Amino acid sequence: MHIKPDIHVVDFLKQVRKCRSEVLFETPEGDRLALKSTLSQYIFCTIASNPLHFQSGTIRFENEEDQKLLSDFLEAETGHRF
Amino acid sequence: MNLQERLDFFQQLIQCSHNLPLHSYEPELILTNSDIPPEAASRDDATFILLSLGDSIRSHIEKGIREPLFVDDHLGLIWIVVFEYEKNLPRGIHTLGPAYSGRNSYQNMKKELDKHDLSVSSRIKVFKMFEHIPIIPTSQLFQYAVMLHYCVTGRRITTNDLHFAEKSTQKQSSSEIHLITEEHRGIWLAEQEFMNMLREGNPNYLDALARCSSLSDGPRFDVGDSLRRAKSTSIVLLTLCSRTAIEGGVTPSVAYTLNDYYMQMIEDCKNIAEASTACHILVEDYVQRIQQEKSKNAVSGQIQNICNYIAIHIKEKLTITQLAKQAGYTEYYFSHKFKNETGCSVADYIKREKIQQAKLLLSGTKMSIQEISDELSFGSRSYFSSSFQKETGLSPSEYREQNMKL
Repeated sequence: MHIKPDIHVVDFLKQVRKCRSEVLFETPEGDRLALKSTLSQYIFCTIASNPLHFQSGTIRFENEEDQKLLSDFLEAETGHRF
Repeated sequence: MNLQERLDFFQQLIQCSHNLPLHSYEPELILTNSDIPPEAASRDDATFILLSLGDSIRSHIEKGIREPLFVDDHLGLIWIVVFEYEKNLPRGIHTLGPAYSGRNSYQNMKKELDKHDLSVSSRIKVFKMFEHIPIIPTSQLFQYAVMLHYCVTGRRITTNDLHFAEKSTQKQSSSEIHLITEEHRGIWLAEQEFMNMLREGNPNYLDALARCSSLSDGPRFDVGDSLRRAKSTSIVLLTLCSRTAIEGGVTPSVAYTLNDYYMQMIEDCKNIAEASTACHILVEDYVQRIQQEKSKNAVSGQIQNICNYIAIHIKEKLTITQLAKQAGYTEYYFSHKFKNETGCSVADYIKREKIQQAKLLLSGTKMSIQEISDELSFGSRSYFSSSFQKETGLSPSEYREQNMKL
């Protein structure tokens, strides 16, 4: 599941903090960030400063319920579980 | 200069020493200088600020606190936040940071980053971002906060007025950098002044404490953990306070019990901000207890106030006329009341206090005897020497010879 272009990164990450389980961001280069950790959020911000890296990454949910919380920020397609 | 020009100038001054970014926000936390290109490092800093500081800033504004806020996160990154108000409404928020609190904060950050096993391209980008963050001792950041507050509001405050972000749920691990010189000049004197004020229960002890803080950020040792260092420094302050409180009239059992209580509080702190807050609480508690003990004695509030006044103005020429006026009594009544309550005359009391101060200057500075005599308004060197000899049994030079601390 991909993130929509032009989202507000801070609002997105704040919403991630509300999720009950882990939310992963995976880049095509193989980076895997658990977005509830502060350091991972900082890394995500740095990666997100390049729109290409940002939109080519995939979001995965440990708990599918959390997907609803982030639906405003995600492209409409089936989410992946891990 | 208008505010923007002052802020620009302030940033240029800081940039002379450190690459410490200054950002301005609207009260709703929208970046004011939004002309920063999206790929700029400062844009990342601004995002960090919103992520790490947003809740603390909102809570600070909601509480109506106008003094600067000091925030440190568990990764060892520190920010200073200064608030701009127009009448009663927040008009702007100015942030200085991030900075590392200590030498190995960056190393700790690197270790954490290594755990993420990032790809080469992300790694370069992320490390570049964390590498440009400067390492600045917390005491210096406190001074920057005071200066930025003055720059924004035009109001002078001291480091005692800083507020610290509450609550931390994660551990922080970092170490302090040693940027202070190898000398301890002036610290002992400032410390003695602070303890004298504490012993008297003088509410103006904060000024003396600020002087101590400006000269030193604590004992010099490096265990590679700035939080441990902050806690140890706080425990040194606690020990000084508890012993001084006993001299000030608090019973040893109360002073020691409080000592244990506050030591536990310090050990439980999860970041430097919490340790600083604990220090303020413990000093204030000891001062209030000393004041309570003093008030139990025969000395009335008015005479205690005059004693405090004498302590603050010890360097000036003090007369009974002036002190009586200050207390709101006639000279005759004031002199009698003072002697009844303290057991000595006003003149003897002032002389004794001046001699105490002279002892500090003789042992803690290199000022000449003439300079000390002038500093304490004795009138002449010979009068100072004879008064000193009468009180202590030693001449000023003999006293210095035996007690020099430098």
